[in-house]
Amino acid sequence: MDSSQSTTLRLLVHPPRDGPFNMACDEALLESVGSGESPPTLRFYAWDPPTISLGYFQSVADLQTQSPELRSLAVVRRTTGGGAILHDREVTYSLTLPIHHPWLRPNANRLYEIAHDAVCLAVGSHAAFARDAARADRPQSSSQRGPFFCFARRHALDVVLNAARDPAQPKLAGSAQRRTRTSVLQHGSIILRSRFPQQPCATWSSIDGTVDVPTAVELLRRAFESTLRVRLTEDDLRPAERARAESLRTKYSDPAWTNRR
Amino acid sequence: MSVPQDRRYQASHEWHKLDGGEVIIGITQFAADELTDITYVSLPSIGKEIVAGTPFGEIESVKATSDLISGVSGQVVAVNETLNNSPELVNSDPFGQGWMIRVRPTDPTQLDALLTAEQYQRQSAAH
Repeated sequence: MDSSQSTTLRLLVHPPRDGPFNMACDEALLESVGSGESPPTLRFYAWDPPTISLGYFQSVADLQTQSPELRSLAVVRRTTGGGAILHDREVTYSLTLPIHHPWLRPNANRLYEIAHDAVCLAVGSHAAFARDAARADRPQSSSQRGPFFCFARRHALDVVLNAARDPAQPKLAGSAQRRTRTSVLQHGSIILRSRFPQQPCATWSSIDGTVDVPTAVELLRRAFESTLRVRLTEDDLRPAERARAESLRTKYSDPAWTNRR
Repeated sequence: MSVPQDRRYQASHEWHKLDGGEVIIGITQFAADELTDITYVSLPSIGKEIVAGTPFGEIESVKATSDLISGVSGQVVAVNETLNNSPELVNSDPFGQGWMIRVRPTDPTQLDALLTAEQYQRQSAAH
């Protein structure tokens, strides 16, 4: 991998926040990295309260087909594609790069491979790309088609448990992107522990007992450093980024945004 | 990579073809190849006024969402409804059956400010 332009990478580690803030923060980074005001940024975060995030093109009506328990949870709409995710006991990463960054070559799909290589490294030898799994489902990547939950869908670049670990090869990690003319945001979730069996997924705790966010973040941090061949330098949101995130939070809290499709 | 000479381009990879006083807009083969498998295209309604330099629609591919940017202002007079069920046409024939919208331009001279085929090819090759 060509990492010659990025020997260090900015790292943000954020405590659990609600869905509107988390999505607003990622969009603020997409803007600030795209404008060149901020460097490429890797962010780890978690969610409180439990929240369902809808893919950008998903219909909110699809949520109405879910159980009353799920319908009672907080909901936020992402700017990225793919299916819904129930964020609860999990770690989410986001990686934001300027559009001409070498990690986006030959195309932006390369970033899925890079990040998922890091996830596979973090969880040991128990995970594999879906394209390499014995069970090869037809790719289902459109927000408009396929199962409601992201973790029930299967794309070649998703991470699944290997067959030796679980013959059903459930999905451990999937990611999604928002691409603009100037930057790319990619974020993805790794479920630590599941309190909601309605979301079919593999959990990190089932592999090696990892259940707490700080431990998972530390393992992911080391794995991203190794995979990206960078040194992560921890930072805070800059005042302009924080102000923009608070402003965008209003959009993500607005039912008009959540219910727009 | 060759691109049709009979249209103008944007750095964001949309092509614009003048046709009988109207402008047909789509995305280039380069953009379609970069996006890989296109799974959904969201286009405006007929009659909608669009503004040069701003999004007229959105596209999804491999769980990625991207804006579609118009290079001209005007009113949408036709939309390629075929893409609702066959978005893959944008991958297989982006300069033909994968067209997206037809616009009656407010100011056709806006096309002159867009990239020529040669300029677009040079710019794409640079990245």
